[in-house]
Amino acid sequence: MDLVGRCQAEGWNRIAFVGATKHAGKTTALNHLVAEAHAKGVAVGLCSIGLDGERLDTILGVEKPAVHAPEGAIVASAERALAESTAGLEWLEVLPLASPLGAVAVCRVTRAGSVVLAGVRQRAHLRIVLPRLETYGARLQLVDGAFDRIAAAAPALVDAVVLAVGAVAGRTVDAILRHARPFIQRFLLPTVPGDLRNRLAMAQQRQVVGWVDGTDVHVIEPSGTLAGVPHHAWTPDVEAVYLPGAVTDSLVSGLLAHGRPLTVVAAHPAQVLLSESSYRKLLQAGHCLCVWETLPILAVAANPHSIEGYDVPRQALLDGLSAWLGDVPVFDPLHPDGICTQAGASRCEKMP
Amino acid sequence: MGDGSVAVDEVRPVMDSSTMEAVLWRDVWGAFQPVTSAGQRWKRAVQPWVSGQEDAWCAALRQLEEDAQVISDADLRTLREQLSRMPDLANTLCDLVAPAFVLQPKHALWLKQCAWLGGALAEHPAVQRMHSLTGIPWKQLLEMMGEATSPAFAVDHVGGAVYHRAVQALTEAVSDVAACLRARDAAWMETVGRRPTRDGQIILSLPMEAPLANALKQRADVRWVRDTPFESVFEVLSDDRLQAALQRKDAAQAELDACVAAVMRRLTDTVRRTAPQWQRAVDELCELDVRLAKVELLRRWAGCVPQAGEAVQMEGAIHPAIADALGRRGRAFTPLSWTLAPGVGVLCGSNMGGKTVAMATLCVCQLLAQFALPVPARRFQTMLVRCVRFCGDAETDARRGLSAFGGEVLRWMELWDVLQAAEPVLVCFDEPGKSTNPAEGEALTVGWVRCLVRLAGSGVAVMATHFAAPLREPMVQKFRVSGLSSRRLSASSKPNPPGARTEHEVATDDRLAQLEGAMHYRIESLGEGDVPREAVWVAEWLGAPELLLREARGFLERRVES
Repeated sequence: MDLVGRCQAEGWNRIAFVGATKHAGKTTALNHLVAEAHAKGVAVGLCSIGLDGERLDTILGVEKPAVHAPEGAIVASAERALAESTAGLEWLEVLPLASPLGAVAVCRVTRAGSVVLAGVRQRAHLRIVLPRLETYGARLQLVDGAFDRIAAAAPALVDAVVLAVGAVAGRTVDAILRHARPFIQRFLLPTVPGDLRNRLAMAQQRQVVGWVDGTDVHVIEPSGTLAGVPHHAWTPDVEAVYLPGAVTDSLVSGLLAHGRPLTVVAAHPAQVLLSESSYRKLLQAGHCLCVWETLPILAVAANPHSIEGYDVPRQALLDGLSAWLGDVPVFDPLHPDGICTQAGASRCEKMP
Repeated sequence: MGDGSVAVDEVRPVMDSSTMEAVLWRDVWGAFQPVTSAGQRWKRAVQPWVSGQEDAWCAALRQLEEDAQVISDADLRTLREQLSRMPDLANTLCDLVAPAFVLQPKHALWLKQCAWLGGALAEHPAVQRMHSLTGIPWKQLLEMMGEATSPAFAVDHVGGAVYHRAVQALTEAVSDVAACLRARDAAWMETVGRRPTRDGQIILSLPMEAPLANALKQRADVRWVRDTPFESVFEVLSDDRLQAALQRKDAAQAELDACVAAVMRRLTDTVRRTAPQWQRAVDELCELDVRLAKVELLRRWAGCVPQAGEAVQMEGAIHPAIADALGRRGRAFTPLSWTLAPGVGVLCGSNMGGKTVAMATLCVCQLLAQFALPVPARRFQTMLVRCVRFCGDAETDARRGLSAFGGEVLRWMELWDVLQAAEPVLVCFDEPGKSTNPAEGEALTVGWVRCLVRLAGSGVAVMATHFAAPLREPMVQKFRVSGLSSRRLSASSKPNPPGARTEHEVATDDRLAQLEGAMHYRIESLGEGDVPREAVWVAEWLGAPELLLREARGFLERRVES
């Protein structure tokens, strides 16, 4: 499977890398895609998002996988982080983004080497950074997400995600898959059906909570939570609710007792922060969960080695993920030849 | 530019905070928008021209006039857009003074962008027509930062022979390492059919590859790391050739790092030696920005360039902040025309007739003119004054134990001080004496008029009042706002029935709008006349209680009879 080719075929130019856990292998996956793009002559743009302890660790000398930037890559990073890079850099622009590591600058790599990516801390920053990377010629823009930061995985910011699943999440393949399930599941949620989409459009456009009650549509401020929404007083006719903010366990628990099947609509996958048990309870209550806008998965990177010193069977992990993910490529970046697709998944374990 | 050459008088500034607040100066000043950091700093520091600086002020006005003639709207947009990308070099140029300071790539990039931008702007026909950015060696400054073909900066551009040799050495060392790794990988492929990972590991699946794993455990060129139930992991040890190549690479990297530091120190010294040129370049770009911002303001307000004269002549003037506020409510500001000779003017007229707005507009136009900025008027002529003061409503200050009248008297004392010490001044009084009993209020107002006749000198003092006596004073110019047109008011609809505010079908807001529609805001010279009597009418129009109106009218009639 050719990941860069898949991006080109689908028209995806902005890719976020998100890890299910710390040390899941997202930077390794990023390096894999960078190398593949370079080999195909596709210029990449690189940045990271998040107040990332891992990157600070890098600067403080703790060993982390470096991002290897080939000649011609465009990088956006903070001054002090750039000073730690071994790549030769041509400074193109200093962006109006301050960080504890200095201002964020955009540079072109003139001599291949490692780069440290830091300084971009918020989605609003990404909205500034990504167009600049593109302006300077990066056809494929890659965003390395910090641990537990799914901020970049928003459809308004990127076109697709690479999800990293690592053995650090569990000592068996089953345990890893169980942990990965809610993390990945949110990207597989269906989009809201057309009729409900039309009726909830006003709430979505205004980014406020809205619900469909028979033929009526109601909206309420503030956006983001159900706080203040009189869902206890809803009539049984309420059939769908749009939630612009995070969909959490506590929020969903308030909806379980609703008297008829309810369609809960999240804005996009990154806003779904449900545990597997809450998701299960929601479904058991006859409700369903969908998203207003989905975000495609470019690939899932599987890392069978844990930094705690143990390994799980590589092929079993790849097969287990593949069986569940269908056409989505699953691969181990350190063994790129072993990219596993559904076709190769005959020996896969069942998902727990 | 009217700038640092003017000393700031902190004891008696050209305008004080009460005046700024009363005439909504901050809103007006906010409309003047330089786009560079240097231009914005200039705006924060600039002082207005004052009397005695007429020559420089007139030169600044002439420059604005000429700039407005040679810059098209399209030029203005293009140039300001380009200038908005100008980096802020203030701190960098300041830091250069410190001997230990070394430019970082970010600073070098900013310097280069400045030189690049300055060079490009200097060649723009509109900038050449403005005779701006001349005499700066833009090309030389750009070349100083290397690679004059782009605004980007890289150490590569200014590196020199030693640096490039260090880069070459590193490149070769990296190639050597890669060649060694390729050879190592090929050897492993040949002997065990497996290539090490990028991390230099061999990972064998168990139990299928257990024999191979056992064989590897016997070899000296590989270190067994661990076995898991699924895999056996080995670290491939570097051979002597690879070891040496890695050492050469580390040494070359260290050598290159040292070269980079030396190059940046050398570049810093060069920039430091030419710091005055860089400072002048920044100043010139700042001046261009300010000149363009003035022209932009002129166009936005459809205003005029003020002219120097012996009297204040305002034609078709508006107050931009009040006009904006009215515009948001769907109403329009009536442009004002007013001529005031040096001396004292008394302005009377209807309640809500615009006396306060007229005086605030006068102050705003005068202040803008003293900054050599465009004025939101069809024409504005004036002379420079030393101070502009507005004396408006005083409020009760319970914490200081001051009644409204007490507060007003304190403000009078401040203005008295200014009138004694500074000359000429523009001072506006908005209904003085209204916070005390009318007899004494009128007496104090007359007192002020008589004092102002003596103190105003070549300046201008204006007083808005409802009292009649000041209008009978000699040697004052008398004005009135035209006031209500009975025809226009009765044409719109009938007044609110008295006392019907809570139950009447027409909202007060609509009444106010109709009142505004019937009001002539024009300022007219007043001959021998009396104070317009429209207050009871306005009160009736707004729905004041009938009993109140009847009593008021009865009182007025009895007073006339007596």
